Amino acid sequence: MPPGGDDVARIGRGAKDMGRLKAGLQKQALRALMPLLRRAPESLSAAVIDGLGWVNYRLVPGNRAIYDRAVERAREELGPGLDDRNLARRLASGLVHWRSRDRLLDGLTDEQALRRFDVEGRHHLDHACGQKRGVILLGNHFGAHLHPSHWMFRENYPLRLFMERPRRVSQYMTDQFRSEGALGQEKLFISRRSTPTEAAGSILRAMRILNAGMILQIAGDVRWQGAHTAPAHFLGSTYLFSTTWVVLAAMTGAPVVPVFCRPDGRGRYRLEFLAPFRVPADAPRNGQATVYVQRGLDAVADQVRRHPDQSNDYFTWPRPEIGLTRVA
Amino acid sequence: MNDPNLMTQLCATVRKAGRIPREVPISAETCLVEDLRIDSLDLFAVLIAVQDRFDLVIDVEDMPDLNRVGDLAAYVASRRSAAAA
Repeated sequence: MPPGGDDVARIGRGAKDMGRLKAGLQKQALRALMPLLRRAPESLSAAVIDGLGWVNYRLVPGNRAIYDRAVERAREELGPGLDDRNLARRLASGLVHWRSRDRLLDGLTDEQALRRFDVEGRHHLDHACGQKRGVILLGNHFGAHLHPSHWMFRENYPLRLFMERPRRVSQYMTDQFRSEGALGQEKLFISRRSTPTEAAGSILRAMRILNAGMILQIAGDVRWQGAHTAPAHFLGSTYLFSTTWVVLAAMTGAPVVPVFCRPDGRGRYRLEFLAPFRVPADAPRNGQATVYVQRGLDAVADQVRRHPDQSNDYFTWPRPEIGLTRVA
Repeated sequence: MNDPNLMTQLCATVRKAGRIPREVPISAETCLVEDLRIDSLDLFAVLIAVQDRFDLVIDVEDMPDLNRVGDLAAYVASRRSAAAA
């Protein structure tokens, strides 16, 4: 459920540990280095970002303990077989990359930018688009989570984002956000300060985007509280998650395509579209929303198990809310 | 807006779509958000139900003016009049 009015106050503010990470220096370094990184060979840019992660982990007081706690939690939830010797440092590097958003792709031609992506499952996306029911692109906060949008804009897919306006993104992406009108992006962004009426208007706009046959990207891993939530098991714990994407999928009949993207550490991106699925029209009313929310979370958890260094802030999420159980 | 039949239908639609308990009164003066305490997704469901029930399209830009059930009724009546003209 997109935030609105009092709804906002109920949202978990995210991981406390993430808030404690001293990222100011890192942000300044990124900002200063970005013009150089963009001009450097992609593998060198990736190496510098990796180095910033090392600095962030090794040299910034307090950060190391936070990353080490995240790895401890990853070991608890992914099992003792996890190779965690370098995971804390790689997690720090992953977070630097996460915070650089898609800015490394700024200033490139479409051809240059698209060449940096290795894409799997594009036929799933194209098949879903071909059904002319609109498409819900089920995103997340794993890996390079804004790169799917960047790639899709470059490929001229009719994409809109149903989320808070992402900050510190590339100028290219900022320019894409300038579309106006009934189906434009500008008014589709959600604000944490919006009233329930404004938020309901945003959902109405989102539905019209889908009814117009366009693609709507929405994250499936948004923790929430209130009436329109469903409990789902995620990385060893049970949380409440928003069911907005399930409701939109059920109401419009739009196929849902999960998407993931991660940097490969050498300046390239692995973009993967999974097979589309549908949500029956009556799913939200007959208590089935939780099945679909869980399905979305299972796909994210599967990626985290395979690439724990791309888990960004997942292992710093606060333990489950009161009334929800921690799962062994 | 003086169409009691429309108001009755509208109140029933709001109650059902917004999942409002029977004991909560709904009238023209009722504020959709403050009085009925519905959240954004329920309000969205109400708007969709009103669109379907009365066969009209609610302009998102008009939503800030639709605070009370009476506002909604007036909106439906004006849209019907416009369609009939």
